[in-house]
Amino acid sequence: MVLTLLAIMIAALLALAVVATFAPRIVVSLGSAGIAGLVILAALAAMAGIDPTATLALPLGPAGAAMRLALDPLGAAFLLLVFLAATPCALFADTGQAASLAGQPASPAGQAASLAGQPASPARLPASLAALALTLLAADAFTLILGLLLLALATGSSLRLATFGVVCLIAAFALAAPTTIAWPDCDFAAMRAAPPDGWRAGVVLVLVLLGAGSQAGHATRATLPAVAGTTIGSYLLIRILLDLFGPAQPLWWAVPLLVVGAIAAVAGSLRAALETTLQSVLSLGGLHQLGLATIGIGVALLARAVDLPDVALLAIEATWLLLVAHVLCRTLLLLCAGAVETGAGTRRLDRLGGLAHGMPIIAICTLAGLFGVAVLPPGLGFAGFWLLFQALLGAARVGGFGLQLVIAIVAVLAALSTGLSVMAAVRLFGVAFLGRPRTPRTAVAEDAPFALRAVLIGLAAATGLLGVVPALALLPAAPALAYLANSGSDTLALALTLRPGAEAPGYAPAAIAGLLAVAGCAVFWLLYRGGSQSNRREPAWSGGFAAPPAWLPFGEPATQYGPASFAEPLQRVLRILPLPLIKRLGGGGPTPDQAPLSSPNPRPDANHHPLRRAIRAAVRANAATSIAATSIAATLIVIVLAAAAWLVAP
Amino acid sequence: MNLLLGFVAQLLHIALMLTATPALVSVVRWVEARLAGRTGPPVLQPWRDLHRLLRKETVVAEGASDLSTAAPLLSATAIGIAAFLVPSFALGMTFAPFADLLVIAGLMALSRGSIALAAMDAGTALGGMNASRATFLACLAEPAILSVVFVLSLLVGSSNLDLVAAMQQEGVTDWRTAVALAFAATLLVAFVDCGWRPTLLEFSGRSQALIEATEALRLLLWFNLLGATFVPFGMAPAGAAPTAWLVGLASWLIRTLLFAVALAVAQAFVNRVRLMRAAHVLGVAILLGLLAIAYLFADMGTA
Repeated sequence: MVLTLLAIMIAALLALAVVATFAPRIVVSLGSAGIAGLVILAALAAMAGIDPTATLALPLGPAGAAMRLALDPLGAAFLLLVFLAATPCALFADTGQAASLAGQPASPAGQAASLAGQPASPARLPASLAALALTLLAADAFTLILGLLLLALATGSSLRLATFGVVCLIAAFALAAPTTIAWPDCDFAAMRAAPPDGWRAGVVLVLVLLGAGSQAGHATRATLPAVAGTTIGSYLLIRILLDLFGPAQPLWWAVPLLVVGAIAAVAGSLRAALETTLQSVLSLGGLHQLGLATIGIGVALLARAVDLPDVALLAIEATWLLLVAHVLCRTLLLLCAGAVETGAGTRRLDRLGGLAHGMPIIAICTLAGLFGVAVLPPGLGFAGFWLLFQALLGAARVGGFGLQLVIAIVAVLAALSTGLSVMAAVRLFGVAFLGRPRTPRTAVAEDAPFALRAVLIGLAAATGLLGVVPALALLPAAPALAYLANSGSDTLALALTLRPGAEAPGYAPAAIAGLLAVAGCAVFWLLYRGGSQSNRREPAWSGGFAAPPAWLPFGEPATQYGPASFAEPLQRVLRILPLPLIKRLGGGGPTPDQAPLSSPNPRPDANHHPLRRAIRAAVRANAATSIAATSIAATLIVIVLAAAAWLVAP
Repeated sequence: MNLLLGFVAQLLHIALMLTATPALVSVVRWVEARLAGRTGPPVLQPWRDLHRLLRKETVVAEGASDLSTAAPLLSATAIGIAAFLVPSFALGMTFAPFADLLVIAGLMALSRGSIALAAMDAGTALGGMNASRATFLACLAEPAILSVVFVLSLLVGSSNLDLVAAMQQEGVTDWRTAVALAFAATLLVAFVDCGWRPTLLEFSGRSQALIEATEALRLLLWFNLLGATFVPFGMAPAGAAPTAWLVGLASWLIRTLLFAVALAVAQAFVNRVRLMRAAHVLGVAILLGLLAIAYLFADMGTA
């Protein structure tokens, strides 16, 4: 019944996509949002009385096979999560494009940006919603592949990467399908009964990783693909590796996932700390969460292989919490970024500044979103990271020395990525919302319209609440998570404390938040009970600079720390890496859009003397090489000592 | 009975933290001054400073938002809660079930992050530089801290600080190498974190008082953390009679004084921690942490 309704909704979305070119934008937007809301209701209804065996065969599909849709607990949980984010995205699909649509880009940079961004076709929104629903409801390989292809076409983000991913997945399914069934009729139920083994398993694992990893290509500046499209990658990993390939896999399957997850987490937060536009910081920062979630999937695989359902449950719960944090906070943040682009006329960090005065609500909502994503207590991201760390601790007790060392290094890399994510968050908020405006246009930024503000405040409150009570976020997915972890108990109590074991002390976010609130109020009352004594305003002492003249109302913008100078210590450390890798990570000097439009007067001065230049270069290189030499030497010592420890151990 | 004892111990601990913080500052300053051949400020100077700042008018920088008021408050609160969670003289306090090592590390990061935001609020060059460097060092400190937490949690089977302290009190004989390496890593991180003081020029009056109190409390927090995780000797076990608290208090006093003198001596030799040297030290701390984990695994393999 629910499935039939969902199939009708997918058809309705597709029909909306067809008529979108003729219909007014507002109708398409509201219609998509309405249908997305209905999908949420359907997912909730399915959760209330779910029947996992129910499948719906559509009278469509290749010869000899029908497309099958099914709604099991896992699919329902992801459907709920993705469409919770998709509804506000659909409502405010045009936010951030208004500046370019109104034909009054404020700056040459803004103009260039809006010209570079493709004008979004109105058909994209309903089509991508339909694709998302189709992918999550698919009960056979053909439907899944169709959904992914439709998603790639509808979002239009990096089509080449998406095609590559789909080809990989087709190959994976073709190899993994039991020999008894023909390829087009690759039913999920049949695949669960006969998981791949032997050499096929290894090849399939690599193909699935490539296929799911290519979904990260959705991390572009558009909100819906950056949030929902990237989440589909994690869904594919969970669905195929943990569900379709049976209840247990070989132990070594965990290693590639752990390594890929750790690299993605560090690279994502590093990119977020180096990128130069709001949207790219936010969408690439999402890789941090997704990488951590991938580590969680890896730990779950490991724990299932050695039959530790408790650890597997911890890991898969961590994955789910990290995905919830990613979806909700990323939606909030990217919508805020869109509002900033509309209100301040640019998305370049080096042109923003001081937005906390003009857009206070957006500033608070951004802060709430960043707090949820950065791994700080009592935020939502911290709850997920805490569970992940406990799962890693549990997994570190199994396997040999090599596997344990991999787990330890993954834990340390995950920690590094959390530190970097805090740095990225401080940089983004500090540069864009605090300090003085860097351009006159930014100084007159206006807050977002009321409807958007209301939705953003709602989202911010939801992320705050889920951070304090993470069990609320785990509740809708509890049966699915218990099934994935091979754990018998699917009754998750609405506990206020996350615990690694039944008796062990755990992480009590509600208590920490309560203590913070009580202590904060007490200090506030003690210090400010007499009212704030005349907060006199004076120009800040800025390293000896004089107060700005009347014709320079915000002072010289260049005396402020900007996005590039904030990341400068990181760039210095990055110099120990090989140059192509630095370029890849977005470091190493100004990117094309940062370069000045006209080069300064190339007057030959003292610095251009060849000898002097050579000396300067040598001095500059010396700092980098000394860091490199120390690090390499220290690493070598550690490796030698670790090898010694290993040899001593029989 | 245990509940009541725990509650009383918690209250005493909170009172002890609040009163001991300025005293600790004056001890560190006095030792530093003596090492430099100066008389040093009077013992009561930190209290006088706080009192003076609290009475002064608050001047806010032009262009600063309300964050300039809120962030020092949040930072002080986060460090304060972390300090209340870390035991000083007795285990089994009321907040003990919440005293997770990861949470304490997270609260310290929260404090650093909010102060970094406050520093950027006025839009001055120095503030931005402070924020950038503080967050940069924090992101190098994080892996080092978490690798130490990893070692201790693997040994104890939980990342709860009270359980870690209780295990260290019983004494571990099999894993001395790993614990010693972890201790060295923590000392390095603590040294960098205590030596790295932000110079915030845009704050005055009560905000400035809050920031200075936060820095002082961070010092005491590090000493307590080092003591509870690695040398919790003499600390009264959970549920012990209040007479055991006296022993705990005496041992805490000795420990804290030793740490304070050690810090002052170290700072007298190093003078000032420069950014890239601090980054080097933290890198070494990360590697020591990894080495500690490797030794732990090797030893666990034999055990």
